[in-house]
Amino acid sequence: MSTREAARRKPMNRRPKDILLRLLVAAALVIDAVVHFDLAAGYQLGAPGGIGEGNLFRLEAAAAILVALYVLVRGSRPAYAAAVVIAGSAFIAVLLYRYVDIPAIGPIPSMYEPVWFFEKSLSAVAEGVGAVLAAVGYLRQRGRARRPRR
Amino acid sequence: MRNHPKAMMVIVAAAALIAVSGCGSSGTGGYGTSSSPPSAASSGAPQSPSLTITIKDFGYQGPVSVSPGAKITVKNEDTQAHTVTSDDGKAFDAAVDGGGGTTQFTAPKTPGSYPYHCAYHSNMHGSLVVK
Repeated sequence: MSTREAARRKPMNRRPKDILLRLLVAAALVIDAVVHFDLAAGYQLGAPGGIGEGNLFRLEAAAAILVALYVLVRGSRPAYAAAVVIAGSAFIAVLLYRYVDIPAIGPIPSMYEPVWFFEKSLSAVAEGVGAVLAAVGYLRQRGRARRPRR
Repeated sequence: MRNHPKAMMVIVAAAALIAVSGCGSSGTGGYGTSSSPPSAASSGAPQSPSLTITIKDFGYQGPVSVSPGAKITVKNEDTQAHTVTSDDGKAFDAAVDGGGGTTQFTAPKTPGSYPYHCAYHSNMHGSLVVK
């Protein structure tokens, strides 16, 4: 078997570019999780209504860690899709509650916070970049899956 | 020239009349030229001006310097609860509910600078100078 043929037979999600993409998406999700875990205790006391803002942060962080592991281990289309959902929803939420004073909705407390600070900005950037990279990963996987094998 | 002393007497009498009538009025309508506030003198205790720290949009607005032992009111206009907690953790610590909640705390008696923060939201900072 020639080297070229061996490379072609290599699973598509184990190529250097794909491994790098998986690492970047996982890193973005981990940054998101660390920031949310770090802020959760204080925010729970600040907005304890319903499920509590801190508990929502903890749920978000736990989901981000699980999906980061999923992306790292599998790097599959479902893994990237999950990363798009988790990072993308967190990014939309942080922007929404930064600029719009949304009242409490059922168990979700009012989380309006019209300021940016380092941790929040870092988390928002990680979520945005993570969502875009995860979408790229998803599209790459889908494109390769559609390509006929020789 | 001869009429001047008479005129002076009339002016002095008019001024005295105005002054007496001013003293007899309710106290709130002072003209502010006096150096000591009459209300403080009448109550026998010095009255400090309104000292309120207002919390709005995750920021502190309020007095930067206060006198030792002053009573400070905290008003929270955010929906979320906040605290005014001295950075040393000992000087003062006041929690206030959101949605217009208020609370009070006493400023330290020792002069100095007291940076404070919100224990719930670590990005919120302020400073109180006692002098």
